[in-house]
Amino acid sequence: MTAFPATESTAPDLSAPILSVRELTTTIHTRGDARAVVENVSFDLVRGRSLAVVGESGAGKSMLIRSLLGVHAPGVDARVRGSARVMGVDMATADAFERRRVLRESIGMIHQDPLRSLNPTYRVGTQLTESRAFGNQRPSRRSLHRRAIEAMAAVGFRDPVREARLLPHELSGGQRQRIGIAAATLNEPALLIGDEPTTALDVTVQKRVLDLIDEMRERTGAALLLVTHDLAVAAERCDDLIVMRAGSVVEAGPTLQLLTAPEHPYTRALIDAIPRLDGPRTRRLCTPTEGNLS
Amino acid sequence: MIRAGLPRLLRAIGVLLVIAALTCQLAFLMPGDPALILLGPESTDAQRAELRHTLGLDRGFFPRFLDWMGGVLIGDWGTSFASGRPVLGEILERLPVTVELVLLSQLLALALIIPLALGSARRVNGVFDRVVSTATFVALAIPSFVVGVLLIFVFAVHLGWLPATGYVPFSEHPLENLRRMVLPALTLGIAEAAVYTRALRGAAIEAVRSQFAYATMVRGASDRALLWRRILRPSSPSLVAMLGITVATALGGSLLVEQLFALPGLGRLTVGALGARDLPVIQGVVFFAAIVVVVAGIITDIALALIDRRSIRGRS
Amino acid sequence: MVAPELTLAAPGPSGARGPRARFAHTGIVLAAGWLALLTISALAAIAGAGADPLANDYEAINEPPSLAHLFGTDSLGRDIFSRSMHGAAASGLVALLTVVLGGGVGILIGVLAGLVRGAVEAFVGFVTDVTIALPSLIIVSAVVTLAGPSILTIGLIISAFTIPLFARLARAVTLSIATENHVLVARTLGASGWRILTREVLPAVLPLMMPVLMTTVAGAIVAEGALSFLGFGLRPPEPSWGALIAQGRAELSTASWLTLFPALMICITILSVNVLGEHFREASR
Repeated sequence: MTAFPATESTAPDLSAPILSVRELTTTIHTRGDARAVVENVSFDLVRGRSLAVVGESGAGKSMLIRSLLGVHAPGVDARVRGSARVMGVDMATADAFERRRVLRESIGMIHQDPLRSLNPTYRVGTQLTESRAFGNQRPSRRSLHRRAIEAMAAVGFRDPVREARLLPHELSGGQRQRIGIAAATLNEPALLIGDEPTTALDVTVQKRVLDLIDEMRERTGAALLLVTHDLAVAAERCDDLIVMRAGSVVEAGPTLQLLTAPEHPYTRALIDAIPRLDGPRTRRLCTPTEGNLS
Repeated sequence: MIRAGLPRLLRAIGVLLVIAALTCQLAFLMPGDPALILLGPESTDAQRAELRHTLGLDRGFFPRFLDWMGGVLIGDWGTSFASGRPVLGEILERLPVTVELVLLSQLLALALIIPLALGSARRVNGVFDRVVSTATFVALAIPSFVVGVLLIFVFAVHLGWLPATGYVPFSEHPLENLRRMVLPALTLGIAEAAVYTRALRGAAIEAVRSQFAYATMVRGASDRALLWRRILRPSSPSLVAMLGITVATALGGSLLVEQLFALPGLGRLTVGALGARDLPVIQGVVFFAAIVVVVAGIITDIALALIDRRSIRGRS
Repeated sequence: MVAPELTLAAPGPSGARGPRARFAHTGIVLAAGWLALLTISALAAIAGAGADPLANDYEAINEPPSLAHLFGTDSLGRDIFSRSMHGAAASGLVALLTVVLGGGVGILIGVLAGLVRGAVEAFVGFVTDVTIALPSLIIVSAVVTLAGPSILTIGLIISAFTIPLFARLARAVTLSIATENHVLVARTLGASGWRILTREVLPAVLPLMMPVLMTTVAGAIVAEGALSFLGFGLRPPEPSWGALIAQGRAELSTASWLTLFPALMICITILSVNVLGEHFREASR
């Protein structure tokens, strides 16, 4: 079961895509000037599968995520065309109420910088449960606290009752990212999104965080959309790959196929740039000199 | 915390001592013989000598200063020329009026500006934000005494809704007390509200653009939950610091407002004492105001530490 | 929802001439124009042009604004326009003293404290603490009533209170600038302390102090107004904006021009000063 080519979504069966993106184009408007940051992107992601979006910084990966969540930076005039359906709800056109419900119930996101993505003035145990606390029904403080403790235990905190009372700056980088994972998986969402979840972490911690993400996925059966500039991580963890460059999809397909038989020179350049112990000594930077890439 | 607080406390005591010393020299600001100026040319030499003695002007600076400080510590702040009553008693009697005025004005200001600033941050440069920004910029240019005069004109003279002057103690008639305090509190509050709005708006915009706000939005929080339950707190330190300064210098502000609305508070006491050149009262009020500034500074620091606990728990 | 200064993209070459920039530019021209006009009128008024601000004219009591009396006349028939202009001169003097004395001395002390550090810095810090703990309006009122009111005394003492504000900020700014590369290079090259101060530090500190200078000037004008409003400023017949507003207050419902025009003068002036301050703030970013 591959994500490509895209299949027409029909009855809500298990093979129906959790995330279905069609001809998604996002333009940023600034005073009489418009710039496309995501151009004509289409893909499907079905239950249990994992898909990596790979590209250099500035390739439009973060804007792609913002577009399919419908959450844009304040003050940025971003206009989205096409559709991005999560569990059948088009996030680009849904009203705020419906969009937030999907965000709370069906999507969990793990952010790039675990320190900056946590509010410095609230205890981690409090922030962890935001997707429940800020929902339509207001659970009691006590039940939220209990849920936070459970979630922290599930991501490997030894003494969650004490650690839930800590502030973000009192945790280590790896601990913070585990809080991020616990917050993302709190409502057992069908879709997990990782936005460079390991980039800000030490190499030794990176693997443990990725393992934890895999473990949580196994537990809940969530699909994973992993956005990364690190092709090695993407190749190791994901079933399918999308290579993005300057807002557009350059190449897409199952990981193995893409790695063994890349069709586009840019993909080839990215693959060659992966440092290998057994490979040739010379390392090529991904300077896209060949091919017509626009 | 104690280790950080002790030098600050010593410094505060030092500041208070210097100010106490300065207030002991107030009499020498007068051109010529203070006793002659205060008593007038018809006074006798004996009267003037007696006044000099009561003010300690016949002694050197240190005996006078130590004498006064000693008195302050045991609650004897001198005796008012005008009323013949103890200065500390006069101050404490007027204090509740000023405290109520300041509290009410700050509550009104906060109730007004927090929704405005957060609403502004919700859609930066949107219509609401632009209106708020322009309005606060204009409001910033209106001195509080002009605000007071205009409020009296509109609400007391023109519409006749509220009384312009007079005071009724809260304990006697709570509702009438509030009715009479509304305009003074608004006058004092509006002057600060513009400054507060700009401070909170700036901080809230920065917070709304932060990564942690993005994370909260992605967790499906409504704008209201995001702004009130996740943005307000990290945005409020500069506002709290300003609030501290306002409360600290409230005596200055109350001078104008109490005079304008004829409220029998500390400001009125000060204006009266200044007009009558009642030196012991002036000295007492200045020293009291300095204590308020120092104490307000310490309370502000504690409040800031409670808002952002990183400062007490150390940074990683 | 267009957000010019918020967008992630770098502003293009056309950015500076957008509609809002043009609006801001108009604001600066208007503000500077108003202040210039006010200065000229105030100077002309003290030089003797226009009506005598103290001359009573019982033929023209409480006259509403007309061509003969632009802002009307008060209960003694005195010309409010002329009194407002003389009031502007009083405010202007206070503003000038704040810039020269408060700004000049304060910034110099602050820069020195930031460069020399040690005991000087500690002393400046302590004096700042003392000054901030002093109830300034009360002290100013006390000094003016006890020492006798004159516009020079008022201006001097108001501006004296601003010295520590400037010193504190200039010290902080100097500390951050003193570690910047060009200063370090000058130090390494053996530039004299004076040269570093005048060539490297002051040119960097002054632009950053301009917004605060404007805010403080506005504050000083308000303080003078408040003082006169309370009756601790200039002696009654002498015109000052605060005193004019206080005097006209009783007749607000019958002769609103008595209060309205001086109030407008002070508000527009402070608004203009603030517009310039905002401009400097944007420029120093």
